[in-house]
Amino acid sequence: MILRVPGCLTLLVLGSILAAQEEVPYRLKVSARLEALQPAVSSETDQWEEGAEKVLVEGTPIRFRLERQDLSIAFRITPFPQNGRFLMIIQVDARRRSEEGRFVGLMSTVQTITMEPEVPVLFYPFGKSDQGRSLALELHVLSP
Amino acid sequence: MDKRSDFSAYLDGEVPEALRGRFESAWAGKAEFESFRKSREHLSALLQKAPEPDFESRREAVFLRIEQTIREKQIMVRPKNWLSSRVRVVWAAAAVFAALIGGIFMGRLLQTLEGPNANNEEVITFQLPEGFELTTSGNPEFIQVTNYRRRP
Repeated sequence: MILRVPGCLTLLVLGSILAAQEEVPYRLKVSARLEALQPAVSSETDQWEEGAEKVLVEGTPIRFRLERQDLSIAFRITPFPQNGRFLMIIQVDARRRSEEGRFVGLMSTVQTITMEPEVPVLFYPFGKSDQGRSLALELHVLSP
Repeated sequence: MDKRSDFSAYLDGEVPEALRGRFESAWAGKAEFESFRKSREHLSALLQKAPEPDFESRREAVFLRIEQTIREKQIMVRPKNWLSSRVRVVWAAAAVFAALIGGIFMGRLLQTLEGPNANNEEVITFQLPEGFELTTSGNPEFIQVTNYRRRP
């Protein structure tokens, strides 16, 4: 009985290590940036870029929003792995805040797209700035 | 009384052979003599019975036997109980299995709490720059970039 307790504890630790040795998952990189339509227009003052990474879990949506005082664009991306590729169900919901402070729907879409690792996907046409720049939103599946 | 002494002599085989027939015909069917005969036989059986056992010696014998048994039990290897050993093996295997499952469960739990997808439900929020206009016409959608070149 005395020997059984440390034995079981050893197995408990061993099981924890085995469970932790899971394969490194695929990740989704989301990056949004302003891109110059003409390289000559580019300057240091109007640079803007945001990015984040999330782990891809089958059937678990990844949600992100692009926010401004008068604008909110919500993305909901649900991945389904298929033979090394990912079928993505993407929902986009864009809203604008009216002068009364209420959000008014601008656009709402649902789309399915198959993504391969290391091949980016762009949201187009997204929009442009008044300084002659376009906004690029890019999705990227990163291999483990 | 004479009759009884005669009868007693008869039972003891002391009556001559010539007179035995006469005695038997005289006593045949008489309950008194039958009862007497039975009493004698009973008494004779009691007298010939084995003597009462010696309790003291028997007790000593019992103690000796028990003592011997205890000594043997002390030095003998305990006989294997096949069923009980099998039950112990099953219990040990069940304990090992339960510990392994518990370990895996704990590992998964720790991984969920501290792993890379622990905050996967969290909504990412990017602040859009000012002076930007959203294109609502032209059905914006995600498109795969062909001939993609990685940015420097």
